[in-house]
Amino acid sequence: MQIVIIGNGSVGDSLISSICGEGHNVTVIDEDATLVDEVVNKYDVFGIVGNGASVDIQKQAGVQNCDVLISVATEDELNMLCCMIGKRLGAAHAIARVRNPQYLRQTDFMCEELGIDLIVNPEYEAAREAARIIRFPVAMKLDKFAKGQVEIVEIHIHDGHPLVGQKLLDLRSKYSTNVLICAVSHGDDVVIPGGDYVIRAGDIVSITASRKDISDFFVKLGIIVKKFRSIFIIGGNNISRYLADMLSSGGFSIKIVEQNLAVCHELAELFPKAEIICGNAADPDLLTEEGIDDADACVAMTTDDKNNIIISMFAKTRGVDKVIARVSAASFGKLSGSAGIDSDINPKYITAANVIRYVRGLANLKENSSQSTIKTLYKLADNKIEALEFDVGKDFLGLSIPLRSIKLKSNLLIAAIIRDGAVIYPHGQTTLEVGDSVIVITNNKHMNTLDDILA
Amino acid sequence: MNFKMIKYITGQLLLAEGALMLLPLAVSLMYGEFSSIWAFIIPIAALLILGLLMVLFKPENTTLGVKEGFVTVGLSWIVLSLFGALPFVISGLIPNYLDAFFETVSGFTTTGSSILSPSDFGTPWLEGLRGIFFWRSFTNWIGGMGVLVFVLAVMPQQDMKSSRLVHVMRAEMPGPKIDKIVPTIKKTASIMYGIYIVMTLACTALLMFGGMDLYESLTTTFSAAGTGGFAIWPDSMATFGGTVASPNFCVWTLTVFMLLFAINFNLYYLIISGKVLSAIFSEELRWFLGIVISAVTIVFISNINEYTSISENLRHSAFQVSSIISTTGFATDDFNMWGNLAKTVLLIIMFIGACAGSTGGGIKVSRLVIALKSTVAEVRHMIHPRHVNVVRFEKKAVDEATRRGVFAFIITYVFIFFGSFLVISIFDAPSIETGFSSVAACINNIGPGLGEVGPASNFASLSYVSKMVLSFDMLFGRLEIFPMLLLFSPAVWFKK
Repeated sequence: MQIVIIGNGSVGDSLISSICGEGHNVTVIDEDATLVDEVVNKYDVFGIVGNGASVDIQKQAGVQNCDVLISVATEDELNMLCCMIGKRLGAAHAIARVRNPQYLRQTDFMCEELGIDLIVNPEYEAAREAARIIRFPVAMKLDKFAKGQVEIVEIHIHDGHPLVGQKLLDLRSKYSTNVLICAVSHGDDVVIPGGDYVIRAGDIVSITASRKDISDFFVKLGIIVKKFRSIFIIGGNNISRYLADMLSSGGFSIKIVEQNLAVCHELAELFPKAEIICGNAADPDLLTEEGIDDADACVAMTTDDKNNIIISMFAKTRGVDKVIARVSAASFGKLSGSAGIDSDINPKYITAANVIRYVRGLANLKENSSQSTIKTLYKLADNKIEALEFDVGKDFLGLSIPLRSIKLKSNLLIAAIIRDGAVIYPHGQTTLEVGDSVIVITNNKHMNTLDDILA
Repeated sequence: MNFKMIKYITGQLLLAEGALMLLPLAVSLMYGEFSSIWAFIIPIAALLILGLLMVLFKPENTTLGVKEGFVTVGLSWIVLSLFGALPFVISGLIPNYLDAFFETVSGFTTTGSSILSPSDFGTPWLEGLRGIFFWRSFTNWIGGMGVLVFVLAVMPQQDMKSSRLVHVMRAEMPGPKIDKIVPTIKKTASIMYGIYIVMTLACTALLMFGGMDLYESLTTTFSAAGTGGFAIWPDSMATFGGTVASPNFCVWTLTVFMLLFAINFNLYYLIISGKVLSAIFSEELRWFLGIVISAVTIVFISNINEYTSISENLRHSAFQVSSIISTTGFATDDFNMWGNLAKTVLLIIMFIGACAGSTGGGIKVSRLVIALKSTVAEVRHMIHPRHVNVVRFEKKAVDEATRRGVFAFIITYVFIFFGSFLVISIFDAPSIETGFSSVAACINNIGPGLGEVGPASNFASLSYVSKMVLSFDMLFGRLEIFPMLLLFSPAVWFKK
């Protein structure tokens, strides 16, 4: 695919390195000639020096024919302008990095009215990643379908895992759960398992269900020994705010430690349920006094890497189950594992990873066919299995027929149906109706429309 | 130094050379020259076996830095010539290996300086030698666009990610500032070769239209396209063996095509992608054409008494200027016999050379223009010390690094030139004209010089020391000095 990237900061750099590795044609635009020189020497890309919002520069970069325009410059407004111009010029997709929380609230409006296809916010993504770790500490990977109503989680089955030796057929009755194991990879083998599949140690299983069902399932399995309750958030910046907001609905008790009194007041207004503590979090006495010993998780999100690492190390010594540190410098990231920090979060990497996932989805779609009606496509289990989301149209050949009477292709699974915003786990009596979204798991390539699921 | 990766790329290069040698082998077979097929089969076998051994283990670290890029290119060209000389030796055309090496380097660097005397062209003409002479001309074509650029074009994309092969491309392609024209190196290299092949085919077709047969037109085009200058006739382009229907048409075709091949290939890409105007208004192109027109005019006036008709004079003058400034080195007449003014002009345009990003050699028009403008800016600065002067080229300000690179290049060029001149004078003590022009013809990749190395004679009489010095001058000229210079600096090879 032809990809144009505007802005060659640290987000741009990690984006370029991964996108180039996947064999796309990349053009980079930046105003700083030295940065452009550097990137051209480092990667197999084309560099243009200039303002990305200039029509001439965009034309020179071939935006009019490109598949994706990614604008990750420092200024939000510039990114939005670049995307708007790019879309008018003929870019097929546009992605903008927008970090101002005030714009975040109007994401949907901007996507629809300004024609931006994806808006990424590094701080928001970082907070989401932290929230995911707190909710599902065991998951290796998590993808979302149908605006996040259905999730796919990959977990690694180690020796002694409670799922070892279990037959899939028995899971439903044994744990009274709706979760579906839709793909299993073991070494190089990848299968869509049938009901009589028995889970072995060393499997990597992909589980689909709604977030709540997955979470309940993990609790019942006992792999989340206890659900995290008490969360310490260090720092009162944007990431912390997003995180507090995300966790506020999950029954967590949140303590936010922030040094600036004015910010504390603001936080107290925003999060009436949370405890706001004004003070220096790098002070061990303060943390002990405020009960770090009883906390389940500590999330250090200040802008100072060193502070975050030190606070996390301290929290770990006081028996906190999960310590998460924001580490922006790549060099510190390598360090954090050996310092006993469970997870380090680099907002830039996460942003890059999200953009890449989107680009990969587009590349997958493009590979499939132009007539495809696939809404989203993810690859699971080393890219050997695809998870596809379709809308059911009125022309669908299997409309309103109970699933047990439809002959489906082999190696194909209907994982979930979303009807009127609710997730339905299909069984023999379930029918597909107009307006449903269907998630299909398959290892058949070249599935373009929902009719392709029929044998 | 990432020696493993250098070895890997050199292996790829050997494989490419082996594959390219299949073409002359096919020609030999086609003409039933069974005695000379071993001259190709043995080197091909050696290249394939050695190449395969070298690419067998792909290095884990595929990253190449600037110096590795330079060293890869320098080393590759020497290895390429070492193997490329084998067919000449095995076939017995040039029994001495050092002579054959000189001839091959001269071929790959698109110089065209030959050690062959008229009797080497066979009696009857080219009898049993068509395959080997095809290879001789083909080396011009391969060297024109560069064999590593070819490797980059055919190398799997998978091998190229994160390898920073752009340094290899930059080191091989001529010009002060080489950049990709499309995002990926592979595509850039493919487009360059695509344009090269299309233009080669066009020239071949026109020469056939002028009365040459396929073999004659193809070999002649190879030498013209690479701006090399090896001819399959002992008298270069003077008579075309006397069998061509319309020789004047062929001469004019070659005149135009040699100039076309001396123009920056990026301009052709601009034309293909619809930006015709920006191609036409290229500053380097206008300087180049200006120099060509002035040179033709002066040579024409100087030759006014040499030829009987104006059209004949114009034909020879234009052909010779085109041939020398494009650094091809074809000759339609013995320009050694021309007047001093004409010879001086030819000697000057030898150094100017072609445009950057073309297949030609020399210092390159763009470098000289940048140097000239910088000098003007310097003088202006002395007169008005407070004036802020910006040197512009192609409507863009030339940055300090490029300017420094241009001056460093020209100074080193001069050093190497006079060093070689001295060595040749010690070992061969030729006339100043011969010595000066032989080095000029080699370092600028022209071919024939003046005096004893003029178009009617050859380089065979020089001592082997001089031939080796000239061989390396040719490599210095084709690779624009620094890849070779880096190869000889101990700091590259030894860790402190």
